[in-house]
Amino acid sequence: MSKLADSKVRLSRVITLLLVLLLVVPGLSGCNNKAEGLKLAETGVATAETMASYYDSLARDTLDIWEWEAFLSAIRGTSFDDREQQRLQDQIDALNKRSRLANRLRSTYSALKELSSYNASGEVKSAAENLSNTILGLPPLKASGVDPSTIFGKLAGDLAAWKQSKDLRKGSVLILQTLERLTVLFDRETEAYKSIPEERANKIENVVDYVIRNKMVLSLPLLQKVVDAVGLKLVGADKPVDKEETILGLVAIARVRAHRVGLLSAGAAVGIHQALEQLVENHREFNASKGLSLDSALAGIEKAQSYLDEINKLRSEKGK
Amino acid sequence: MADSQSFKNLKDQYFLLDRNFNKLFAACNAAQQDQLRRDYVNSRDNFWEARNRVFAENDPLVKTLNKELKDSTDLINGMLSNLKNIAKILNLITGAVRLGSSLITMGSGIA
Repeated sequence: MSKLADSKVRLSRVITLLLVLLLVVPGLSGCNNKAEGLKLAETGVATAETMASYYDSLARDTLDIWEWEAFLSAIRGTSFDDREQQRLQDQIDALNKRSRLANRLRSTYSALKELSSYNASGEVKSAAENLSNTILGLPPLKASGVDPSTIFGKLAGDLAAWKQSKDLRKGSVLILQTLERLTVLFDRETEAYKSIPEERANKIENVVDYVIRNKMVLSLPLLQKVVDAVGLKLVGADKPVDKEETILGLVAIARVRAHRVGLLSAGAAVGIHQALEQLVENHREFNASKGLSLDSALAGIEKAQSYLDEINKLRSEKGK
Repeated sequence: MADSQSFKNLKDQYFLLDRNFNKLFAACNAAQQDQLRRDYVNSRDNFWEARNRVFAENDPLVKTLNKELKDSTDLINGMLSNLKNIAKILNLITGAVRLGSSLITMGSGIA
């Protein structure tokens, strides 16, 4: 049984190898189509993955805002009632659903990738149906003034109808329609996306100001890098800071760190937007049997991913 | 990229009050502190509500409100370096937040 399985695997590898060899021979019917389809699908997978990470990052930011606003409201004596808190929960739900949509898009591209390697119509069917179901359930962001249902229209039905398809180009046309609308949605919501990490940075600044002023933290280590740079040693780093001008300086450092995350996140939004626009263009090129120029989409997504990696690094930094 | 002036102006006002809340609060007497608290909460509500609304940016009234809102935020920003006349600054803030609330009523909600 295992020998049979092994020989099947070997046969499959030989067939895949033959297919790959066929794909690199120009002029043979459908070969270029599949090779280009594979490259397009790989770029789509990378773009969708980065988008999902970006939305996850915004959802985490919203949760931070929620908790830190609760703290600030308590110390400021301002109200923060259930209705206002529900708004933040709605925002988290909407961002999570966008993340899920990006993940479904990644699955669809993965299926397209498989279709470019061999005829995996079952995977295409399942991925397309999942994507269409997610589009149908996509709520407004509550952060953008955009209603996704007006953007995606009847696309979900078209995607669901993309069943048993072995036609790469047909799949690409449908993904193109999804991408075009996703790009519109992302564009219209970008301003709201960018405001989320900015608002989070304000909350950090206010909370840090409070804990330093109330001597609840040892804040002098914020200067550690400066003294390390010239081989000096901090005196009194194990005591809270009293001097007003020192407090102002330390809060300013904390502010820079907090706002840097906001800038990185805004950079990620720009990179993803660039990648989406380019990917749309690449699908058009593919559908028109033109050569693909994927460099720009990949550059956008690499930029976005590097910003998101940096944000994760900053989030996990402790005592630095 | 899409640009909503209304969203930006409401954001700028709320962020300005959030970043300077402690500084303003320290300069207020008890009654003024209550006024500041109300203004902050209303400004925050306006901004969060703006995320649910679509604004007709070319509407003449929306344009007027946006101009007044931006001017008032700039004015408040300029007065933050000297808080001696805190009553005047607070009245300016209260008026500016009311402008924000008026702008919110001009936006249409999403179902």
